[in-house]
Amino acid sequence: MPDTLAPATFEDEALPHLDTLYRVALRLTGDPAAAEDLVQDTMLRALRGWGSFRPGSNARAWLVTILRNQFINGYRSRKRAPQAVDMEAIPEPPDLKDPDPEGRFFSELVDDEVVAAVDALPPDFREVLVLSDMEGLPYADVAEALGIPIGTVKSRLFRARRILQGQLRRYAEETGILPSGGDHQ
Amino acid sequence: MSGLPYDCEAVLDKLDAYHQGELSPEETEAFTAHLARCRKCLCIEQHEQAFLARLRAAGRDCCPEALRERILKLCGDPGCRGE
Repeated sequence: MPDTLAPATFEDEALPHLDTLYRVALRLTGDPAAAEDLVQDTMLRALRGWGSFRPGSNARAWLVTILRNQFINGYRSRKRAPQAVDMEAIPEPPDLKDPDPEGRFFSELVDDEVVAAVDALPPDFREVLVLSDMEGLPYADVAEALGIPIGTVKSRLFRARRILQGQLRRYAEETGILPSGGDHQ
Repeated sequence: MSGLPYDCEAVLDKLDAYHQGELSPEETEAFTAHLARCRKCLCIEQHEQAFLARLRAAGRDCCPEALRERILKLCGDPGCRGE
């Protein structure tokens, strides 16, 4: 490493991730005003703790960790009630006998339907899905941000995707994109 | 490479690694070769792909400008800095 490298500034490292932080905050809190407060508190805490950031390490994962800790400490109880989900009822993968087994219906759903289904996931499942599948963090970064092993990230993600796929198929049936009932009777 | 060519079980097992781009060239070839022969696995792969693409496109809100400005102000305030 050349020793002439200028130290990265907080602005350079942290500000490019504001959109990601805001979207994650929105999905965690379910409320734009609470999401704004959460992001602002996160950035304030990150600024104060900037001395503990290791140059060259992953700023996005570091910021998400701070955001999630802030959320758990102060925001969790504000808006959301825990969702009741039957954890045993993990839908099966698509079957050739299903209508639209290739999932073309996914692209016909509107954003609000997709987001509502994500928001209805239990928190532990929602956060891995948001970070991995919506924000594109690698599994290792999700594991680091949430303080869980990569294997746990993968298993939660698997269940989260299946639950969400089942929910989106139900939306598609309710809205007439897919024939309702059908093979699920 | 052991385990090649892939059967249905191997393909389902590797589905996520395939979408994450984690398969080696040989594994990718075995994976796609199976899909070309097996309609059931092809459907499952297309279903997963369509689902993930829809999810990536959803909820792309950006940080509101007023919030960005408040944060820039914090950055410029020496009292907020811990160094």
